Amino acid sequence: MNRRQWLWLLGACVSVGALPCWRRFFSSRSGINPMGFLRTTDPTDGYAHAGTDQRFEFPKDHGPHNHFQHEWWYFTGNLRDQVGRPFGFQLTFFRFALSPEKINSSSAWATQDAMLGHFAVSDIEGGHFHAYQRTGRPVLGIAGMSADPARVWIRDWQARFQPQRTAGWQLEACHHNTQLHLDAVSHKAIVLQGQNGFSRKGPGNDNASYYYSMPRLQVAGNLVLEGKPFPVSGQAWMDHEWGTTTLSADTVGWDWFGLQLSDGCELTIYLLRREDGSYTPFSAGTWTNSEGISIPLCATDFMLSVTGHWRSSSTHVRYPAGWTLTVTSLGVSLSILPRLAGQEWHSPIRYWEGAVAITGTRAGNQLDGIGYVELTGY
Amino acid sequence: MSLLGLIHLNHLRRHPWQTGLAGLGIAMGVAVVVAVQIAQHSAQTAFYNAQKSLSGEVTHRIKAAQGTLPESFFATLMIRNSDLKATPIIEISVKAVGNDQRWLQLIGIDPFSTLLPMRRIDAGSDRLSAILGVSRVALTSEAVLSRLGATTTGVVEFDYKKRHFKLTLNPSISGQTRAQGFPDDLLVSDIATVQDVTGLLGEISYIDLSVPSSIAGKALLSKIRAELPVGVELRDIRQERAFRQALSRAFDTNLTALSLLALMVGMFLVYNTENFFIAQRRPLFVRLHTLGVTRHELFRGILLEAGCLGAISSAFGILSGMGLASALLALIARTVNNFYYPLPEAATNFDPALLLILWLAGTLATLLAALPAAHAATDVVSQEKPASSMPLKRSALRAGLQSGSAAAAAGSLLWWPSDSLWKDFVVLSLGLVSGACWLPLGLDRLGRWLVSDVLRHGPRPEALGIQSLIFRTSRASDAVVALCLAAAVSLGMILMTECFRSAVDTWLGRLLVADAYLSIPDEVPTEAGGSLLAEIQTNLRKLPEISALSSVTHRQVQANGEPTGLSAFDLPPRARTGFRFLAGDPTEIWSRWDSESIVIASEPYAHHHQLKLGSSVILTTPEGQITFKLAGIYQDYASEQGTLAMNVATFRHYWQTEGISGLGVYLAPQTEITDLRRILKAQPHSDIPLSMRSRAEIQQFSMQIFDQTFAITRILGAMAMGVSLAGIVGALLAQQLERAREYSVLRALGIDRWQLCRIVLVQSMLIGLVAACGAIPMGIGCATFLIRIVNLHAFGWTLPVEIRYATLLEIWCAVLIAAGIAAVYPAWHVLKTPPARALRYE
Repeated sequence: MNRRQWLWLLGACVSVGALPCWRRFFSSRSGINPMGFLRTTDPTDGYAHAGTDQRFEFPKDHGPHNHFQHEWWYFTGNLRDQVGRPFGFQLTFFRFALSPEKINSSSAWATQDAMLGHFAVSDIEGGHFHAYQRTGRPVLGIAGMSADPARVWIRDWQARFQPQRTAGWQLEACHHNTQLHLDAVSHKAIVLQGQNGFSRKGPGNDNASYYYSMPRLQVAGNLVLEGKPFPVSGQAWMDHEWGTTTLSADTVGWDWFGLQLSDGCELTIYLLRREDGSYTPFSAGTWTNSEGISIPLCATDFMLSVTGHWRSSSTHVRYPAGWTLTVTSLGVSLSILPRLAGQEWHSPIRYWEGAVAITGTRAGNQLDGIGYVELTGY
Repeated sequence: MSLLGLIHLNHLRRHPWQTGLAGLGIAMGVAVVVAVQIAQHSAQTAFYNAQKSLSGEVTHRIKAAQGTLPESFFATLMIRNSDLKATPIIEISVKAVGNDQRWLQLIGIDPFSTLLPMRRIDAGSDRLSAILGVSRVALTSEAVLSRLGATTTGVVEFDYKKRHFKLTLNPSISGQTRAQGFPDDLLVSDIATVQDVTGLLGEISYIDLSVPSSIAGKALLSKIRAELPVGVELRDIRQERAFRQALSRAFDTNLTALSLLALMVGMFLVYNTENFFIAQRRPLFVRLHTLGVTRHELFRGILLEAGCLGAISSAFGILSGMGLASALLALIARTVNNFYYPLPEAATNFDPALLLILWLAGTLATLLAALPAAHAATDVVSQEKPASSMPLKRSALRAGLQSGSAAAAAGSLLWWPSDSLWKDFVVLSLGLVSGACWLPLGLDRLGRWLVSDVLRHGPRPEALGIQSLIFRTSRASDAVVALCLAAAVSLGMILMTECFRSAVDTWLGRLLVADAYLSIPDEVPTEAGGSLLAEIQTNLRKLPEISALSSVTHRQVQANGEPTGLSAFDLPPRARTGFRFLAGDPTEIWSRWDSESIVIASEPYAHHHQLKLGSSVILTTPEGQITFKLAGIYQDYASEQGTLAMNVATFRHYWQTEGISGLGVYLAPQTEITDLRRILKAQPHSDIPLSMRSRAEIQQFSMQIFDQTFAITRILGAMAMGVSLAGIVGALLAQQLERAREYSVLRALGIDRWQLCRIVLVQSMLIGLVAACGAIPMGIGCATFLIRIVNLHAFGWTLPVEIRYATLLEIWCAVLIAAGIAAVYPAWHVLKTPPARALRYE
């Protein structure tokens, strides 16, 4: 065999040997896709379903809704310390029902629900994403949810509504030498997403949830990151959503945007994505102006284009990382970029949730903003 | 390769038998070392892996000294220590209704915990979701399902303390077998289900923790320890695992020492063979030196030859050792299982790094053994007679000085304050060397006496052979020393084993005074079995056929912070005679036993923990840590780690449990064992299998286990003896080579081949006789040292030194027979060598 033939054979071997890497590169996914929890094929008889006749009562509806299959309390925000060092944070409490009915048992461990907590800090300047998870069952005071006053907690992670304040929340989370203590006060009315809080996500009667937001919370408190304290302040966003079999079978994920603009307006956009990357017609959003008046948006009211991508070195998933968002009817044209690329949760549940920076115009006026984006199902 | 190197290697190739013999010695030595190391490593790896898989990430456990923990304690622990990884566990024994009333272990876990017992149950998987909440579903293995006959519906009815309930069994636990160290009777369900079906509301069995080994972790443990209520202990699982593995450390050390002995014998074979090769090639070396080959080059050449031999032989040894390892692993596993801890079925684990190290060690050992021969080769070319051809050094003063130096070194080391077994083995080796220094002198003196006094009027050829052995060469002394040392070590081990056996037999005969002993088999849970025995005890007490009963309750407790076995005895006066106290007055001890809260310790326990009469022992009880005074130390060979013992009344005062682990039954006069069987059949719960054994059966079974355990040492001792025989063969062959011209002259003068054979035989028998006579006192000394020093340091037992004269005679005869057998090949070699060739060879 001459030299050329040897080189050809060597190249073939390298290619074949590298094939598993390519396959891994393009096709493997680690972590659990959260869509599975929202699109279960298990019978859901016995659970309550979202309908159009819901009347929200606050502060009671800040608490849990145990008759529904799933529920979450989502707090995200952008913070700065005294010298302007930027951080992003996420504190989320999930509830998943194990049974539609109260368990008939004398055991204190018997529970209808399971809880999951996610706590993350994005150190934008340092380039690190610190993410922690807790699970628990709401028994014996170790974890739980209460309605009056509204409180949800897993050990020393908690979100507690403080009725003595005007729509205020106290947020606390701690994991070894990373801690967050924030007081959040809302200066705007609660925004009922969708049709007065009824948020349809698919064609079926059951494909809906109840969904409200507190899109502009002023927060102040302390952040301890790897043992170093930072007094911080900033703006946060709160979402509370609950439902049963929310998503339709053809929905593989969503892209959610919670944007706070410098002119005092907020924009919620969620796009429900199919396998082929197209969006379902049930994608929607809400525009809230500086006076707190909300205008619902439907899928045809806005256009989103992806301008960049980022591939995770952990999961090898390719996420969009950069968008242009246009809401023609409002004259809004925004450019959205992640403030830190690697804000990915990859084990055991896989999704991207991170702080973003916004620049753009509205009605010809320059504006900027901050916000959070969530990408699931990739 | 250079011409000189080729010359050396060709010599090896042209003398395959001698080369093979030396290679075989190294290969066998390396094989034994490899087999022992692989078997030990495999056993330890299997134990470690099984424990890791069973406990997962768990590092510590919070458990009540008795009973359960309140679940509120767990909640408080989790709320107060936000970063703590902990999980609650309920662990109980339940009986499957129908299906032979099988007992199974039901564990209630929290599937949401980030710390799950057993690595193979994956968090977040569908399997765990099946048991969530009060689902009345339990995960188990296919094997359990099929044993319970529940393959169709999977629903099985269980009984827990007369409470019946049903569980749906889901065969999701796979790949875990008893052979791998997992329990094969496991059911795993949600903690809520277990509490609900059993009625154990508000209680958990223990809490498992995972705490990092960092400063923060240690601080967290201190904080938790300070918050523990009275009667609750925090145990370090890793420490307990290491403690269990260390239980067999002495056994492992002894095994390693024996394997090194085999390697040393192999090295002796190489030494012997290389010396023989030097003798064979003396004329060649002289010619090479004349042609310009330097002494340094010759030295290197010999080492190259030895290195090649060592490398190839070690490689064969590695392969043979890998094959031997499986058989040895089975033997080791049986011993460890019988005496130390449950060991899962282990597969041989061939660590490439370990094999490489052992291969290098074998090669280096060969080089080391060949160094004297390489040095001798340089003597050859300097026209000096090789040392091996010099007359024996006859000076008693020289022998005394050598022996005295070795003895002094041994004595100094003996007084060094250390209980290390390796120190003891070095002292023993120096002691044997001290004795061996007298052997050349002994050979010389005996030979002269035989020549001058015994054979003066007898046949002359034999006398010539003896003279040749003692006057012309000291090569024979190497063979004598090797055979004597091997025989002495073998004799020492045999005597030690016999003394040990005798002591155990006597101890059992004294201790087992009851007519029958009752116990519950291992497969029955402790709690259920203990209650049953307690009920039987109460019933038997009322019967006229029973004159007395004794009982024992075994429990693992924390004593001075370490896991310790505690035995609580209820002993009638007859049973007390079985205890032999090594410290303390028996009358006083039994008086305090009945009236005070004292403990007594077995001899090994007292030795390992340096306890003496009056020492304090702190036990963790349900009422907290209580200090007990040590009132006596008793003889006990049941376990080498030792146990503590106390009166059952004292025990029940602190532990409040009525269950017992074993019953001793003393029958009334005229009552037979068959009557007892009939009585027991009439007892309640006769469906639970009860083990009843007479004292004779227990004694016989115990001695059987003993004999199985010491099978390994017997095998290794025999191997050492066998290999040393090859040394004699080599010495005699070398002798023939050097005396070839002499023998040819004798043949020419009229001595026939058979007379020459007798010369070879007499030489061999003389070597054997001196070795045998030397082996007796050295073997007795070796046995005494092993019993009084090594055994005490390793196990903490004192044994009486009892010498069986029959054993001495057996070894003496075996050495002589071996020497006779060793003469066969050299004699045959003499027979077939024509005298003319021998003259030409010279």
